[in-house]
Amino acid sequence: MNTDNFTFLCRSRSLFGKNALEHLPFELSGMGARKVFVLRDNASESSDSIRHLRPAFADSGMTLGLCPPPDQNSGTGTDILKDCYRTFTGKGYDSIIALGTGPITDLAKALNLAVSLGPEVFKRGIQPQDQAKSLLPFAYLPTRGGSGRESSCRACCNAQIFELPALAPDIVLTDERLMAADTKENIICSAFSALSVCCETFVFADNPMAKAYASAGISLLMEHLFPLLETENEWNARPAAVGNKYRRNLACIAHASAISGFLLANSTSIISFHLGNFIAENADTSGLTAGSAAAIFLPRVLEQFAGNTPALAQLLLPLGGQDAFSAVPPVQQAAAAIHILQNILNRFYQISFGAVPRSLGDAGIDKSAVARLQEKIQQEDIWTETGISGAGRDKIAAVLLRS
Amino acid sequence: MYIPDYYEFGCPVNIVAGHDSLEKTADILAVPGSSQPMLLTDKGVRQAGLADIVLDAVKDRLDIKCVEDGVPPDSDLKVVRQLAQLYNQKGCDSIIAVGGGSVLDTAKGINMLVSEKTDDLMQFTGAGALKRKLRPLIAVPTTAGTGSEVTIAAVIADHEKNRKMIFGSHFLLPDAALIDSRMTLTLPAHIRAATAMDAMAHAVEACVMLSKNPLSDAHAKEAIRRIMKHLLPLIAEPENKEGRLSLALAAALAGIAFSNSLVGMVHALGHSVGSVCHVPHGNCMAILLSYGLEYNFHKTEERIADILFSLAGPEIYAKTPKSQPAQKSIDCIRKLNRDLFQATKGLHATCLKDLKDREQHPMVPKEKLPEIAQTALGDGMVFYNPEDVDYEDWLMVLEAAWEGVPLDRTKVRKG
Ligand SMILES: [Fe+2]
Repeated sequence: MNTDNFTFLCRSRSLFGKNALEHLPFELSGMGARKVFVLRDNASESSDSIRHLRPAFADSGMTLGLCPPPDQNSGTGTDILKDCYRTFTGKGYDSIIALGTGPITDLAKALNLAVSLGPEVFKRGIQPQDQAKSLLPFAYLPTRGGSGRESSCRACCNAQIFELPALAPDIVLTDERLMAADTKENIICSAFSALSVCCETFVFADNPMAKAYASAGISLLMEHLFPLLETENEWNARPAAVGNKYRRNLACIAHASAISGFLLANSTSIISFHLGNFIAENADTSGLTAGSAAAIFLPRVLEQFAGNTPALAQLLLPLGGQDAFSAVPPVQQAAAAIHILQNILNRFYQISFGAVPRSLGDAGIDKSAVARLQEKIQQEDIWTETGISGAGRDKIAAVLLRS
Repeated sequence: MYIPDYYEFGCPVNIVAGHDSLEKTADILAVPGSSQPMLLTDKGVRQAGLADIVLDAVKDRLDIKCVEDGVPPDSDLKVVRQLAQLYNQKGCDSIIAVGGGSVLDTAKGINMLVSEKTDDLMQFTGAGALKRKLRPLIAVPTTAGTGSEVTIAAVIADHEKNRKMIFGSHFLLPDAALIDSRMTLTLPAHIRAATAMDAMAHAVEACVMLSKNPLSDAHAKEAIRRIMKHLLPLIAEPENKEGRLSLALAAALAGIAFSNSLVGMVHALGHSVGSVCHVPHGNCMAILLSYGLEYNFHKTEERIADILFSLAGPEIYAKTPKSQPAQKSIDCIRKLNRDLFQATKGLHATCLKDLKDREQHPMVPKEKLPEIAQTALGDGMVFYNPEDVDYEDWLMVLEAAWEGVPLDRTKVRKG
């Protein structure tokens, strides 16, 4: 393997498992936090997670300020951020907890930028001198799977993207008691997103640290996704809430999703992930989630870009485990890895009675729509940030067609 | 995959690796606005020309305020104070630490004093004593073994009071670890072997001990695989820079793994052999690792079996009958030691009685074993060992390791 020149940074500490929450006050106070501002979303309301948060801080000598879940109808994102900023600075908070996934973590990161670098950062943007500045302590506590972006060093604020190493959470704490009930579609979207990021990183990154995270993420998903979805009640009782019994599995998927965020922070070119997001935004079909689309693209991307390489063969190890890997002759390992990925899709197609697509065709995207998307891929400059060149885009167009 | 009920994992050090990663030093220091570092090293590293490679890589880009090679093999409180004064006198704004464990421990000590503007290290011994980021610190490891470039601890000896002070804080972590294949080119074969076996011990203990977890496992297994693949060939062909880089990365991977999962009796016993008989840490690890596994066998058989794949590769893993993989793992480690003994023309000892100093005197006379066993009783690491160990147990393990014969597992008391 070529290990010439790489860098890897994961600023976040992961705290995972039973009673993880009880370790949070110690961790935060170690970073100098005394008065914590807690942002939460509606999912965290339904999971009753606040009920666990308060006692965990009871004897810590720290103060918790609980912000009610932001009401998206009560004003723009900027209004909500301004409200938070005023409360935060007015009452002298010194650290942030985001309880939830997606928008609430973007809000927490934006708030951290505003209170640490000053609100003018939204006008002037991130400057080189900001790279070294530390932000206030920030802990991310997922209540669901998430998109992976939560634990990355990127924040999206009113369509503006901010990227700064210090934006990554200092702590990612996954405690099964915090897990909220979720629909199977959401769970699959999170898991498939994470799987795509971890598998692509594992195959393409010449970087043993990233590979180690990726390998752990893949194993977590392979062991915890199927039991969660296969043994629960019938799929068509949608939206099927996955409840208490499977909180451990949900926590493992949230953990893998956070790991994928660490990897996203270290790579810009996770093709299936970006392509999945691109299709979910651009295709004229409802119901195809970014995660599902990424999982459809993943085997094709690996075939197209990795072919029959040793790196692809090695992917069989985290996907299948040591026994399966050892049983398959080396020349068949790459194909076996692809087969496992394709089989995941086929299996979910079956248990979801067709709700989880195996291909773009299953998702209602026909050949003419694919042609339009291919054209858009060639034009759009969204690919410049991923560093994929013209030739790479041709390959992506081929991936689309084969998907 | 084994997932404990609860675990923590993290390593916020920026890992910068390659065949010319040293050239990135100035850019990395520029981020926090530093350009006037102290270059800290020891005499051996300097004589090997490694400090010069670093100086050459940063020339014209950094204003190195002083190059200090006065770090003793065993870091020392007095030296830390003196060097911190020098740092301040010369107007340094950061530290580049080039060397092994003691250089880095010293750098961490200096960094506490100069960042917190004090000359009293004692106030930072307790947990949570450091509350904020220290001055920029860059670690350049030169041994491919200790992994101290990614660990939160610093051990600094107070020779006047004859004690060792242990500091532990995330703020002690270097900002970046520059892993450069040039730094390990000139390592003598037997030191390369011993330091790599230290990394092996970190990785194996991380996989077997109580606080094992999925992320430490993934790091540790990759470290084991790399050591098995590259160590022996490198002894024969040290010019292979891919191999050197891979081994240096294995040491960092193993360091990340064990600092997140703790080590056990191999390190407890190794520290004691080291402090009583002044045997280099890596040599202790090489000899004692297999004995630690044998002693804990009945409690950790499944875990020892689980590392066979990384130690021996898929083919041997597949061909090993289901009742034997754990023993096979131990055999693999013993065989590696024997192969290293051959490859280093006998300089890499495989048992305690064969350890010799420069004058060819035995380093561990048999009559010292009781003292070593007594010392090991007081080592904190033993707390994390799966099976309890008392004085008699220590002595039994030491005697086997002294002779170089496998431990009689039937004699291990099972608690
Ligand atoms: Fe060690």
